[in-house]
Amino acid sequence: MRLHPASVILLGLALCALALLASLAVGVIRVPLAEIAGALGGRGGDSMARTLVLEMRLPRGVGALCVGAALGAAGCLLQALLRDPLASPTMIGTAQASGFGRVLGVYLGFSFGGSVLLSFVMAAAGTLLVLAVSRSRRGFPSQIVLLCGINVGLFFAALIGLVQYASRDEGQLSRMVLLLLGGLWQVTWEPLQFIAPLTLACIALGLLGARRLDLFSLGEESAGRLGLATRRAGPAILALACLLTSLAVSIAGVIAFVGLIVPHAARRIVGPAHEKLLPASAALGGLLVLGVDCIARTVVAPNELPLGVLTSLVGVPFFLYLLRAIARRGGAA
Amino acid sequence: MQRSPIAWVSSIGALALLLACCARQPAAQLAPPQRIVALTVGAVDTLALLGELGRVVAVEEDCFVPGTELLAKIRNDDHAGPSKALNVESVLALQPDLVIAKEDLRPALGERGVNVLWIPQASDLEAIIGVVESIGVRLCVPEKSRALVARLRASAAEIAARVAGRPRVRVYYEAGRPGRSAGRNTVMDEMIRLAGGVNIAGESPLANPVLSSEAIVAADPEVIVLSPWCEPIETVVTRPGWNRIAAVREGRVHVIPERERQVQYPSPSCVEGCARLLVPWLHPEIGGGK
Amino acid sequence: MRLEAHELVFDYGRAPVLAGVSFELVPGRLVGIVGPNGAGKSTLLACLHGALRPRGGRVLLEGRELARIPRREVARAIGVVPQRCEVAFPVSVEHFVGLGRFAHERWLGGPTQADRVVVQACLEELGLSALAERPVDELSGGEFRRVLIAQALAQAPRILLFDEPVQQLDLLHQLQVMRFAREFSRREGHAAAIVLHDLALAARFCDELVLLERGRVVACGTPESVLTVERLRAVWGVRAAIERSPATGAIQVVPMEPATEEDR
Repeated sequence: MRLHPASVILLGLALCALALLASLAVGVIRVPLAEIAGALGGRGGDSMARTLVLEMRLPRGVGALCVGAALGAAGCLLQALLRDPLASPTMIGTAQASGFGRVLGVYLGFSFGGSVLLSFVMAAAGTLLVLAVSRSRRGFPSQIVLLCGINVGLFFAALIGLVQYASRDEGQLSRMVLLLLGGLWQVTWEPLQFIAPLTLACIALGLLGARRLDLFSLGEESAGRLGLATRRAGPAILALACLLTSLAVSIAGVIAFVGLIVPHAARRIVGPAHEKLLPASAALGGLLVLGVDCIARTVVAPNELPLGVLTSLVGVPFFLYLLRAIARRGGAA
Repeated sequence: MQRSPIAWVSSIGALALLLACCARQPAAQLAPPQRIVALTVGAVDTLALLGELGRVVAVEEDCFVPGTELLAKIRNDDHAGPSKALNVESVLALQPDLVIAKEDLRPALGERGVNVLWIPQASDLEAIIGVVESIGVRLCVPEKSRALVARLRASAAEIAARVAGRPRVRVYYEAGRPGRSAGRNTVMDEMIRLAGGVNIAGESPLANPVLSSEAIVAADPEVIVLSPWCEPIETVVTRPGWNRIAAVREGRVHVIPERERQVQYPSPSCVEGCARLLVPWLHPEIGGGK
Repeated sequence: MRLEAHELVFDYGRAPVLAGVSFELVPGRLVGIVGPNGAGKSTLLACLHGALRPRGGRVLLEGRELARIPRREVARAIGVVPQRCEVAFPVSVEHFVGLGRFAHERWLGGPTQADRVVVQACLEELGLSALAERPVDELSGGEFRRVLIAQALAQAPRILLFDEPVQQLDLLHQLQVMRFAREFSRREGHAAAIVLHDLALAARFCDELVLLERGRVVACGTPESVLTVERLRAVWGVRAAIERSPATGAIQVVPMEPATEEDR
């Protein structure tokens, strides 16, 4: 599809805004549209509609959009950087490191804010570990970075298992499992106040460097001969992807498959040029997580399904289809 | 040499007495067990109430029963999840002559040459009573277990009488994880109903349903009961939208103290917990229980 | 624009690949780098544009050390047509060639209208205008080779380095590539170096040949002076005849049989 990059960004933002408004009408309690509009307009006083819309559904929707956009963008960055159609945010170790930080926070009895901080610290540690081990004088060795990421991820997953084992009581363990299954049950405005702008800033930064992503897709040697200093650009892009991932994990826990499948779907719609692909991945990711979250809280009402479980259920068939397409084309895509 | 007829009669009589005592037990065990390993919370509680803790050598790790502090503790996967698997060797090392365990430990403990009393997951008071009776039989103390059962039924009837006629109170019970409650066919659900309440998650066929935040706000419970491992009260009442809930507005949010946690479990003490905690919380006008 | 290499030394771990290679590329010449397999030709090329850092020796671009020049600036001066280019996610020909403009773009931004004009000119020069929208993974070998050249050309370099560009190309495309290389080197201030296996093409199109054997320069000069019967025997291990083509006037190497031990 021949689309100007600016129109991709605008269209993406518009679709996300529309979806957000639509999500306000979805839920266990029926709220007439008039009341939703009223609540958004500031009227409605102390009514149930106002509470539902402004304090419960809106922050949850915004949270879902942030998480989806962050994961979609991170997946896009990583697939370009590592030249791997199967790369995703859960494969660089950051998701597991962030998860470990949150779970450790539960174990030590930290508040929500303290746990989030701990998850960032762990994510940074995981990223630095990957960068330090794969550091090379000759540039940015994608394969080694990928392997490091997977192993660092396994290490932190093992640490998570250890903390679970040491959990003091069933409540703690339950909360840890909840975190790791992934969900937006607890989203409030407080963390969104800095996570939402940060997510947007990171995506904007990625957008400014979109050409570098195009170059990385050609391989490290080609990127170098065309003038890209891969030794500096590589770690910078990786750090950006890790930051986006840990932002998502800090609100919603570990959500698999979004970062993997969204860039592929986006590529089919807008093509592989990253000045369009990156905003499209972010928008599509946001829409996906928002949609799945709406399903999660309504399909078995009054119960709620864990978000991470649902994204896996949706993601696996798509992933298998993707693998089939790669196999049919004869090996490496 | 000739044996006297009296000796014959007394031996046969003693044998008959012994057989009659353990008549219902098809197992080879004839003597009452002296080294018991109790791997369920309900079993330990029952043994304590029957006064038989002296025969116990090890208990399940998280048991709450006073008097078991000095006994060996065995980790088991009663409610904790896959990371805490049963250490079968530690059980066998104690050389028990009876192990009391739930059915789902059959793969781990069955066929090990150990005598096991398998008990089902109790989901209501009748089932708990069934467990008390089978333990009583196995330990050859049927009179004590009958007395305990009678006490339990009497307590339950007394609670029901005290709350009879009062309007039912809507209750939300949270079991450690935000949104997770107890559904139909759980002990907690029955205790809530016994205490004159209606469990807002009681329609769910699942034992541990996770309710959405909106559903809880929609159900507008009048009383909120938190397990000892839930988030702190301040965090719970400040959840978005929860300021609309009647229980939060009227300050009727209660945390089960850790030392009284037996009300949540399929153990005989749950009835006492119901009387001491749930009844006053749900019906403050009645006042404290026995 | 001058490109010089002085006493380059390079090894992959233990095995030495370049053992003291000196080389000079002056404007107006098309230099052919020839030699048997494993002589170090591609490694030399990689060192010449900075993809590999030599263990010893230096590469100078216009008198400045290549290692100290930022990659972007190098890319504006030296263009490379590689042997292979793996494209993970297929893009259009136009987009692919446009990536060659990266070195000229602003630090945080994309291509401008001027860049697009240059890309169009490059596509036209290589006869790719009709293929502009085609995804690069749907091209034939010859077409993709031309796309790689167009991409290098989009960098607007003064020096072009070709790494075995005519392998697996048919006669027509071989001819096209060689003629393009020679024409490029004739432009004002431009130069080109090309790594080749095909000695006939090397002899016909290159002004100068550099013969590498086991990481050393064993001969350097006109094709006639470099490609002699003795050299072919000593370096390639082949007994060959040298003939002059009546049609082109260039010398041709006709290999006859492997050289025996006594010959060497």
